[in-house]
Amino acid sequence: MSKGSPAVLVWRFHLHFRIQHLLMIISVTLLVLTAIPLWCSRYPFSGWPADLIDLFGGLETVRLVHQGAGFLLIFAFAYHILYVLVHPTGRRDFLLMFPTKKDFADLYQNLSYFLGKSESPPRFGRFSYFEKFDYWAAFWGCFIMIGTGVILLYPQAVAAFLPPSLTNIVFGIAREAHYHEAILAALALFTWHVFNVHLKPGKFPGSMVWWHGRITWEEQEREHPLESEELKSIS
Amino acid sequence: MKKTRRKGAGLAALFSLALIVVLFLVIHQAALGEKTEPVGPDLAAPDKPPVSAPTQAVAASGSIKPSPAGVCTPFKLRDEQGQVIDPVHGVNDKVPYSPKQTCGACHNYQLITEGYHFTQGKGEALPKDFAARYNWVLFPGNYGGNWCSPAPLYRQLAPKKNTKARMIDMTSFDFVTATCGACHPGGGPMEYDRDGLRYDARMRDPAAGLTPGGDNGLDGDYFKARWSETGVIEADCLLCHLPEYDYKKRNGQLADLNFKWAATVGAGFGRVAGKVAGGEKPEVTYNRDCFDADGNVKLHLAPEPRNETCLHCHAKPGWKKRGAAFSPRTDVHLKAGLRCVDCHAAGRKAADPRIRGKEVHQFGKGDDPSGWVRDDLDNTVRQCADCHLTGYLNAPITKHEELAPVHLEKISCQACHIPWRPVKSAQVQVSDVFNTGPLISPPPKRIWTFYDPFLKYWNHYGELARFTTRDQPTDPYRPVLTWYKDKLFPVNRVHSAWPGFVEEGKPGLNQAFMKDVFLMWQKHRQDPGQYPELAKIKDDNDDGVPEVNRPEEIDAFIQSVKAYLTDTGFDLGGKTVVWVMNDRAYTSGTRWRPLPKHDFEASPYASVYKYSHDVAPAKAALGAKSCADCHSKEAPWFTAQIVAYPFGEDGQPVTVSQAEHLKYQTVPADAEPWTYWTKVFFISLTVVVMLGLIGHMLLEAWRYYRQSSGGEKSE
Repeated sequence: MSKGSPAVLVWRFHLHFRIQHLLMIISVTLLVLTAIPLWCSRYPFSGWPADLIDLFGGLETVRLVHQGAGFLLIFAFAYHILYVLVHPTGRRDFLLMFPTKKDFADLYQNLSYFLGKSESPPRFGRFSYFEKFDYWAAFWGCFIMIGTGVILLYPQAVAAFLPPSLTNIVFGIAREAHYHEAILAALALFTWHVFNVHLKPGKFPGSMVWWHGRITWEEQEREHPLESEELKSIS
Repeated sequence: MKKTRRKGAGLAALFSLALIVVLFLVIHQAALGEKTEPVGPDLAAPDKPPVSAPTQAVAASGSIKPSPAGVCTPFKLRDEQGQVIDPVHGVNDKVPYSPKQTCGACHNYQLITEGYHFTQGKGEALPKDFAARYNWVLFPGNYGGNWCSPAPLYRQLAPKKNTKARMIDMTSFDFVTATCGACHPGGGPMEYDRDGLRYDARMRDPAAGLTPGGDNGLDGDYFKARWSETGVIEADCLLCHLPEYDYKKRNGQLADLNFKWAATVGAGFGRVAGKVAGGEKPEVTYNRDCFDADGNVKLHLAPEPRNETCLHCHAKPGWKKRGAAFSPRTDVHLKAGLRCVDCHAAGRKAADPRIRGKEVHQFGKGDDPSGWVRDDLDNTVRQCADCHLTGYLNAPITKHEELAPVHLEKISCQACHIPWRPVKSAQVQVSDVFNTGPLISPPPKRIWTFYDPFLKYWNHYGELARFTTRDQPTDPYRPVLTWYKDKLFPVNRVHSAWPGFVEEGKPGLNQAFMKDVFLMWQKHRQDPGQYPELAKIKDDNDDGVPEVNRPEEIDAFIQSVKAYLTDTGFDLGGKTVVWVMNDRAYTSGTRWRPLPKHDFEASPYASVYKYSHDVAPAKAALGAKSCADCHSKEAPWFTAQIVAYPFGEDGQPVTVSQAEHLKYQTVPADAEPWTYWTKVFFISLTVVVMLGLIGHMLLEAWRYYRQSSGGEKSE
C-alpha cells in the first residue's frame, strides 16, 4: 500500500505520550471515583453519603486511594514536563499546542459550518482548536489540582511557610479551588473529551489511538488535512 | 590615671566580695529556713487551751529533729492536753489519744490541715458564679457548699446567724452525723467553728454562754450541739496513713456522738465503753498489744496511702457520679499497678509547684466543671502528658504524630481513651417524687430517684445496700462529649428536677429542705388525703416510676410543696416556690423562665462530671482501629443522641444529636470572602465552560443529524 492509501496507518502519538495519557486515565479515574465519597464527607450526617463512604471501604481507605492516585497524577505530569523539555517530539508537539489566530478563525468557521452557514468545516493542522483546548484544560487542571491537593494534604508544612494571617485564607482558597475545579475537570472530561474522541460522528464507537498511537490515513486526511499535506510534502 | 584605675579595681573587688557575702547569707538563710520550718502544733492559735506543763513538754518535743532515716522514731500517744498516754505502765490510759498532739508533736498539723480534704471549703471565699447561682451556699466545698450529691436536693448548712429554728436544716454539729463525717478526715470544720475557735473549748468556756443540746442563740455551729461532751474531730492522720484503719468502728463512734474517741477506736488502739449519745462518759481501754515494753505505740505507717484508703471515701460517690469502677478490669492504670497518689500526689511528690512541699497536704486535683473547692489548684494532678511524654514511672511514650494537630489541640486525651464507660452512673437525679425502691437508707434518700445513662430507673442506694462497689454490674455506655474550656471532654452531664425558690432581689435560686419534701411525700403516702394533689403525679412512660413532667403534674407538685411548707411554718416570705427542671424554673405547669447555664451543663443546678478514670488500653481508643471510629456514619461522636431533657410531656426523653450539642457545622464555612469568591469564580468558570462545550457538542450533533437525515449533502 502506498502512502496515500486510506487504510495505511499513520503514527499520531509517541509511546511516551501514550504512557503519560494512560497514567492520567488511571489516576484521574481513581481520583474522580474516590472524590465522590470524599465530597460526601462534607455531609456526614446525611444517610446516603455515609453509605457511599462505607461502600468504598470507609473514609480512610478512600482517602488513601485518592492520595495515591494524586501522586500518580503528579508523576504523570512530571513525566510530561520532562518529555516536553527533553524529547524532540514532545518539544515539537508542545510548541504546536500554543493557540494561534487560525484557531479562533477555525472555531468561527466550525460554528458557521455547524449552523449551515459555511459549506465546509475548517481544515486543521496537527492539533485542532478543541484538541488544544483539551490539552491546556488538562495542563491547567493538573496545575490547580496538584497545587491545591498538596496544600490540603500537608497543611502543617504549608502553614510553616505562610504568615499566620494568610493560612486560613490560603487553606480556604485551596479547598474551594480543589473541590470546584474537580467538578469542572470531571464534567469536561466525561462529556466533552469523551464525546470528541469517541462518540462524535466519525469516531463512534471509539478510537484506539490512545492505545496504539496510530490513525488511518483516511482519518488523518479528514481530521488533520493540513498536517497530511505537510506529511505528503515531506515524503 | 594609673592610680585611678587601681582604685577602681579595688572598689570592684570590694563590691564583689560584699556581693558574695550577701549571696552566701541569703542562700544559707534559705537553707536554714528549710531545715527549721515550723513543726508541732501551732500553739498561737486562738483556741489554744491553757498552756500546762505537759503541753510545754510537747512544744519542746516539737523541736525534735525528724529521724534521718525518714521514718517516725518510737513515740508515745498523747491526749488533747499533750499528756503522755502509756497503757503499759498504767499512765493516763483511760482517755482518747489526740492525733493533733501525737502526730503534731513532730509534723506541722497547721500546714497539713490547710489541705482541702480537711477544710472541705470552709473559710474559702465563694466563687462569684457559684454564689450567684446557689442562694444556699456558704462555702464552695462539701461543708456549706453543694454537698456530694449530683444535684439538689441535699442537706444545707445553716448560716451562722439564724432567726428561726425551723429555717435551720443542718448545723456544723449535724454535718458530722449527716453521713458527711463518715468520710471527713477531721480537722477544719469538724474542729473549729466559723469564728476559728475550737468547738469544745468554746462551749466549755462559761463566758460563751453555750450549753450542750441548747438552742445557743440559733447559732449555726452550736444550735442543739453537744461539742463540750462529744469533743471535736481532729484531723485523723491514721485514717489515711494506717492501712489497717477501721472506718466502720470509727464511724460507729461518730454515730454514738463519741467524736473525740473515734480516732482511738478507728486506729484499733483500744475499745471505748459508753456513748455520749446515751448520756454516758466514754472510757477507753487500750489494747496492750499495740504498745511496746516502753509504752511506745507500734504502728504500720504508710507514707503514701493505699488505693483502698482513697477508695473508702471515693468509690461510692465515684460510682454514682461517673460510674467509676476503679478496678484493674476497667482501668489501664490500675492494671499497671499505679497508686492513686502517683497522679494525685501531694507533699514532696507533687508534680505541680502550686502544691509541692514538705507536709503540704494539697493533693493534685483535676478540674471538675462542677467542683468549686480550691479552683486555684485545678489541674495540679499529674496530667496524661506528664507521664506519657516523659516516661515517668515507665509510662509508654506516645506522641500521636500521625494525628492532625487539631485532634490534640481540641480533644482531651480522655475523649478518645475512654470510649466506653463500663459501669453506669446517674445521668438524671430528680428530687420530686418518692422512690419506693427496696433498701434505700436512710429514708430521706427516697426523695432521690436516679436514672442511668439509658434513662432507665436505677436504684443506686438499693445496690449500695445489697452489694458493694466491687460487685458493680457491667453496663457499657458511650459517654456524652462536651466542650469545656475549648476542649472536648467525655462527661456525665447530670439532669435534675427539684423544688426550689425564687427569692426577691437574688439572681439565683434556693432549694427546699430535703427532709421537708421527703416528709411531704411520706405524709401523703400514709394518708392520701394529705396533699392530695400529689396523687396526680403518674407514670407516663410505663417504666413503673412516676415522674413530674405534664403541666398538671407540675402544678400539683408546686402546690403541694407550698402547702406543706406553709403548714409546717416554713418562712415563705419573699419566696416563690418553683419546680426546676434542668435549665427551666417553672412557676406553674405552663409558665417557666430559662435559667442561664453553660453549654456543657444540662442544668445550672446539676453537676457535670468529667471522666478521667477507667481509661481503656490504647488499642481500644477511638481511632485505634481507623479514622472511621469517629468519621463515619455509625460513629456516635457525631450521630449519638444525647439527652436534652429527661422527660418530655409524653414522659419520653427529649434528645439532640451529639453533633448538634457540639455545634459542629455540617459543611465547611464559606463566610470568609476569599473562600467565597474562589467558590464563585470556579462555579462561574464551570458554568461558562460547560455551556460552551455542551453548545459546541450539540451544534455538531445537530449538523450531523441534518446531514444524515438528507437535509444537506454530505461532503
